[in-house]
Amino acid sequence: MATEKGEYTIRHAKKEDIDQISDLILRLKKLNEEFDPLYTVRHEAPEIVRKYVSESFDKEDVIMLVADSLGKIVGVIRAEIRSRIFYDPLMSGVITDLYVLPSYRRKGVGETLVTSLIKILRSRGIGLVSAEFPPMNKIAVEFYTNMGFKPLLYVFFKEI
Amino acid sequence: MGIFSLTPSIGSEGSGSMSTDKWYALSLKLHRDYKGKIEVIPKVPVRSLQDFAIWYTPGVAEPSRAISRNPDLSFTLTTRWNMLAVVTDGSRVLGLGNIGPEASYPVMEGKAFLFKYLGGVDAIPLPIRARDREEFISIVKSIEPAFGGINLEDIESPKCFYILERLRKELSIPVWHDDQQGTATAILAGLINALKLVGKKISDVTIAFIGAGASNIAAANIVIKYGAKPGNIVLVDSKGILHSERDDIDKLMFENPWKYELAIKTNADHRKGGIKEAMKGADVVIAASRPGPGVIKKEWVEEMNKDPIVFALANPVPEIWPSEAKEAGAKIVATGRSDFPNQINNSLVFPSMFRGVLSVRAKAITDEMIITFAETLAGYAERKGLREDYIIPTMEEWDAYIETALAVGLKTMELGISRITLSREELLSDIREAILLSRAKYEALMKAGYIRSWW
Repeated sequence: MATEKGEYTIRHAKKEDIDQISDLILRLKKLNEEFDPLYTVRHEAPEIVRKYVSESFDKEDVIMLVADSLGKIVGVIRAEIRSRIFYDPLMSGVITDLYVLPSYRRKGVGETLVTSLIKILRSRGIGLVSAEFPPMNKIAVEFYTNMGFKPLLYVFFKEI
Repeated sequence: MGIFSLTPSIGSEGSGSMSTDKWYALSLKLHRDYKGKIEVIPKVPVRSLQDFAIWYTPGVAEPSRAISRNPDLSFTLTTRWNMLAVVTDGSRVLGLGNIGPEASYPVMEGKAFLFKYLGGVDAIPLPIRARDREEFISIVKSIEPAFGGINLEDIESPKCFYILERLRKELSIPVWHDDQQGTATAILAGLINALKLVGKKISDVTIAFIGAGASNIAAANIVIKYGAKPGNIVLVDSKGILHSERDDIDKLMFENPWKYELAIKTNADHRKGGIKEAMKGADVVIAASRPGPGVIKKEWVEEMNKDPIVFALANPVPEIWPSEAKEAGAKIVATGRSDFPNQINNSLVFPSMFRGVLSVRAKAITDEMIITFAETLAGYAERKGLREDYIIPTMEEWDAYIETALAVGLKTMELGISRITLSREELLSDIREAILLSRAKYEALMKAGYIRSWW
């Protein structure tokens, strides 16, 4: 229970969280900007992020959880359920966004968000979870590696 | 001996008579005339060429054999124990920026000169060509066998934090980055006494650090170690007050984790804004940002808590002139300049820090040792009698060098990270001899005319 400062609860995102979640996801997109010019955040990104977050509520195949510390959203995870039509297991939960506010990091918030997501995926019969992020994000690489993830797909880009 | 005016006097309040341009012209001429500033002179007697059989082959093979059995004997049988490398890549030299290793040589050689003159430490200027931080680290690791300590100098931030952190971990000799730790140690010493004078405790005060470069990041960390509450500290960089939700915080996590750490643990009130907002109600301001005047405004000092302490350390011109800070109510003002009272100057620290640790063949310089040093330096001034215009010894107070070197040497042994154990008396006499003998030799050479005067 979120009783003391620093404690938090993990719950499904609610529509009234949209502003706070959008702020966190925008921070995540801006962070990616550091890694490569191809991650340059478009100037209309704030509205797009808001739309992206709002529309996530209407989608069956999107799961969005938040870490709530006394009403403040301090972390968010968003995943899409996709099917891998050629392979078994067929269904996979793909983490598209994971962000924790700096002063709440290293307290296991990110890990708890991921394990909570995994629990939900399992309950829906999904046996695979993955995460998408820029390969230059060493902190994400370390985080997922420590949680037992391994690279399974490369996506290469080239400007043409 | 004359006073070292390390900071040429510039600006309306300086008491020096010479303009900076004249210092530049004279310095260039004398560097050319003297062909550099230091040289290597043997210290063992030679009666005839036969003695070379002792100092060189065949005799020298025996000390070599002994060291091959026990490499730590290199600290006993060679000059290694007192030999320090002054290493830089020339990436941030004085206020000149990234001017490269060759151009940094006069500065490194000058530092080596001060090490010898003030601390009796044999220091070698070592500007290196290092492509990146990993290569820098690898070069320093490879020269470890030749030295008793490493003094890093004039390396750009944040690269300097990374290099120091790695080398402190991976080398078994003391590694010191003077721009971080030297200045931070002097700041802590000055702060200890300033707080005594105003009757405030380190655990209660709020401190605004203006500037978040090498010295202020190190100073904030050491002040926290000394007992300041991280939440009571606010740091300001060129983008404003650091706080955990600032827009560039994630960028900092990757680019400058040291600044990121402080952004997260300081500023419990989530203050936002700039220097003005950081100083409001603060007990202490420690500025090491950019040359003033006018970086800190009088009105902002007026907004500080009762009996404000203002350290305005930018060179050559402090962030605010001491007279202005005083008019605005500052109780104690310190600068980086020798022509104002309370000079917070790393030259009070690096010679005797290394004198102390080299004399006991230390394996490291820890934060505890830094705190011991600062307390001893502060204690020296306290014994002499603290005043608003005397919170820290001056460079002319020679016995302060000996006292701090002794304290840090004793602390090294207490922590169990010295290679040898000496009694207090033995250590004191080693330190005195190293400092006074090197000065006596130097003066004798001048007196005899082997080091000729230019004036």
